[in-house]
Amino acid sequence: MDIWLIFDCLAGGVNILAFNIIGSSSAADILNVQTKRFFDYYMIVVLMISWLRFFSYFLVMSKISKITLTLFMMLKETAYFMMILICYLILMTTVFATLFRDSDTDDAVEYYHSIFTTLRALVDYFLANFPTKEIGAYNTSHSILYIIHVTISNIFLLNFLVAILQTVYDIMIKNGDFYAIEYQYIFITKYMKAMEDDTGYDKLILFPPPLNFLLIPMILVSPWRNVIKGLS
Amino acid sequence: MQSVQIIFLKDFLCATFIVCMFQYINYSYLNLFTERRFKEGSTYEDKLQVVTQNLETYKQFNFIGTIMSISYFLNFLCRIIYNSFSKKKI
Repeated sequence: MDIWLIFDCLAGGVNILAFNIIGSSSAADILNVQTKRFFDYYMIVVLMISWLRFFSYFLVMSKISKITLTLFMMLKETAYFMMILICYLILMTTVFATLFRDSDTDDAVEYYHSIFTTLRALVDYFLANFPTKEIGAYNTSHSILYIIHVTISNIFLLNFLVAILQTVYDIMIKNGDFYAIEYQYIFITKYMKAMEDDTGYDKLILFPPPLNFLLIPMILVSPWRNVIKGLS
Repeated sequence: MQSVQIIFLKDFLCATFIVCMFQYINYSYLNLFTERRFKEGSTYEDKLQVVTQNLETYKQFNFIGTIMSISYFLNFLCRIIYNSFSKKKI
């Protein structure tokens, strides 16, 4: 099983399921907000998997594969950093929400009335998007925490993330070709083996979907080697 | 090597065609079942009628999509048959 075949099975499975679920649904299901929302999310997943299958071909193109692999490597290498960032944001969200949710100013009500709005505000601060807020009696403590949070998140953590990405990029510029060749080798050897085969079964490999519908007669007679050889 | 490049080109063009088809089907889903379509009907029955018509239209796309999806499994089946009967395994 190579990566392309895995994507084939995955994309085929989710697509058939999606088309059957939506095709067999009633008009009332579509008008029901919750069912419609489920269909929407499911269609998004289906579309993403279909595009991922297409992206998997980028791994074989020498010019694009290096960039694609660098992108995947960046995502992989930043996974542990993201864990630290998420834990930090949860901690700071709790601190901000606990301290400022009871303030009765417009800004406090708007930004700190729930855990989610507080988290959203802190992510904005992390991305250096922070208008000055009026928190009434809590102004001093809010300013102190705000400075601490922006210093840790925007200066340390964000730059740490940029440093990780830069390091991964530098490594991949040097070694990316090797990883790219690995996928090209898997892809090419698959077809080379099939092309070297003279039994007639090679045609089963050389026709990609949807051209492989032409192979249905061959699939039906596949147990008979002589027939396959003649048919191919 | 030249032949493998041609095979890859064929493979890539087919993958592009399929992803464009799925994108089109998804775009049709987006257009046919957006709430803006249902607003035209004033009563629930009117809305049901609009949705029923749209579902009928969507089922035509569904058929094409299902055929395309089956071809993915056919590819898997071809690989199994090849590995079962051919001298060289992939």
